[in-house]
Amino acid sequence: MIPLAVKSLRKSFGAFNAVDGLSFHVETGDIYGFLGPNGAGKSTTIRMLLGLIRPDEGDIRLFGKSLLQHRAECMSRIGAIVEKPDFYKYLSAYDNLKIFGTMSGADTSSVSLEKMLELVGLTGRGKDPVKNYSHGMKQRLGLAQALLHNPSLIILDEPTTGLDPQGIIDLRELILQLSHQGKTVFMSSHILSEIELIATRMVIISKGKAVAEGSVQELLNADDLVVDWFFPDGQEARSLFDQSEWKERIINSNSSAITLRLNEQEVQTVNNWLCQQGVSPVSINSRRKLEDYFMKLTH
Amino acid sequence: MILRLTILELKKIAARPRSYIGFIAIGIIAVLIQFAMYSDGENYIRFITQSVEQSFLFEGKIMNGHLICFIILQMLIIQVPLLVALVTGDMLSGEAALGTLRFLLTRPVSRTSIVLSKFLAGSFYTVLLLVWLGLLSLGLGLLVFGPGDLIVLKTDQLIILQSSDVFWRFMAALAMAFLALTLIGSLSMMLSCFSDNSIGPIMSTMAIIILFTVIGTLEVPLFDLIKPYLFTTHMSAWRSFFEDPLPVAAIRNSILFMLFNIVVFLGVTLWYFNRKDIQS
Repeated sequence: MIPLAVKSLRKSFGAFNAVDGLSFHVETGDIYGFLGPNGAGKSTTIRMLLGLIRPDEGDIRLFGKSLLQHRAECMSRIGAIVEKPDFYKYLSAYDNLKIFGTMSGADTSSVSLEKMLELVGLTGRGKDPVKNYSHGMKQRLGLAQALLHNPSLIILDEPTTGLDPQGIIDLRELILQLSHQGKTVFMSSHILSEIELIATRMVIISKGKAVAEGSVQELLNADDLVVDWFFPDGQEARSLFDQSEWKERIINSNSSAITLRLNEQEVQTVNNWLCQQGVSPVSINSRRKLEDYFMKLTH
Repeated sequence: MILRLTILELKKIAARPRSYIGFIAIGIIAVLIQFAMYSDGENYIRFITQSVEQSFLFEGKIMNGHLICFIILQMLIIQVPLLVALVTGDMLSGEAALGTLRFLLTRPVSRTSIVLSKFLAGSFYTVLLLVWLGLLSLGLGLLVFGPGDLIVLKTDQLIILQSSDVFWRFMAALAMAFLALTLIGSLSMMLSCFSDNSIGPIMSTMAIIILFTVIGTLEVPLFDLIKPYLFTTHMSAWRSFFEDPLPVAAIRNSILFMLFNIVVFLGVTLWYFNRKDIQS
């Protein structure tokens, strides 16, 4: 049973199309990256996946069932953090977890809550009022409330926001651990490298539309690189390239640099060829095609 | 499930310092009035009975616990709705402002259940406030001043109610006040579902109560037409229980009017909240 399938999803706020015909699906056990620049429609999509916002058009199926028709049943199998995790500041972490856990039908015994707090790195802090928590601690508590009822699908909206480096590493390990337990994780981010490190599949959205979807390996194919060669005299290098077999691979050039699309093996070949021609590059910078594309979207 | 949710809502109410403002305010005002009456009550009684003193001779203990309770109720029954709105007006918008509404609504619980549980919790809070008001006005009043016949002075009438005939009237008046305050609770909750901040719905509820009360007080013929349709007119129906004979038809009308308003306000809340896009 596919945990999450989205088809032709649309949502407008007045004249602004926040989500525009978005389709993708998440397989069981996936760590699915939901990538896009700020304002691309990630949070609006996540809110629609959780029934917080009603789509104008389209279909959302969770575990094969329509979200609109079987909302409660779908929600019982989902744990989520939407944007920044906010809690009842005047209550302790325990009491907050008890409220959200009870509503989800989770075991809210002290032992269970303590175990959950231990899992997210908040051991011994359960009785502290949430108003004394740092943003990173709230993020961890947000994870605890999302996992408390043992959901099959975990939806995390920018989960690393506000976490310190150790917190980010801990979160990555936790997500991998959840994936090994057979859970499906859907996580949004505007940082490609963050998704790249743990995701198995991903979709990139821009202006509410999917612009790339597939396995991370496919999309971040190391064989497809965009390479910048920097020369003391870019014109001389350009005339050399124009007479070579690499002419068709040139994407861009200027007075000091030439950009080519190559695979990993070809980089070395081109470099050797340049040396044979007596042209020494000052520096070489290579990046993957998707990264280049994503940078264009985000900048 | 609604019962479980209501208990959770009550726990949230109990944990918030704001919830105790009403109890503290009622406590201070009720005790102050009783202290004032204890120290200078005779003058006050002479002042309010001076218009009828030439026609009647008062014997016995006029200043008693029943009269004190009646005076306190008259003074506080206008302010208590504001204290109720302070809690109920914040129930949905407060969650939105805090950011917890997102978490609440991603649970396997319907929005209808969430609204109903909040409404029930708000109603229970109202009951507690009224019990507190009853204890401090009637309970403490009887303890300090003792029982006695209740003299109710109206513009064209002087009603004397036997001491033994008064307790049930206070209970009925408090029940009527509960209905009126539940109406305020449902109004403020309705305004609360339209907003994502805490203050707006509370202030709006207060503004509506003040506006309707002013319209209800002004002796303008045009306003006379709309007065029967203002809920504030019916909120003072608790006083009818201290009339003799009891104006049964008027009481029944007020009860039905207030119930109708509660159903409408709650219905609008459910309709709107079930369709609302949660963007907070």
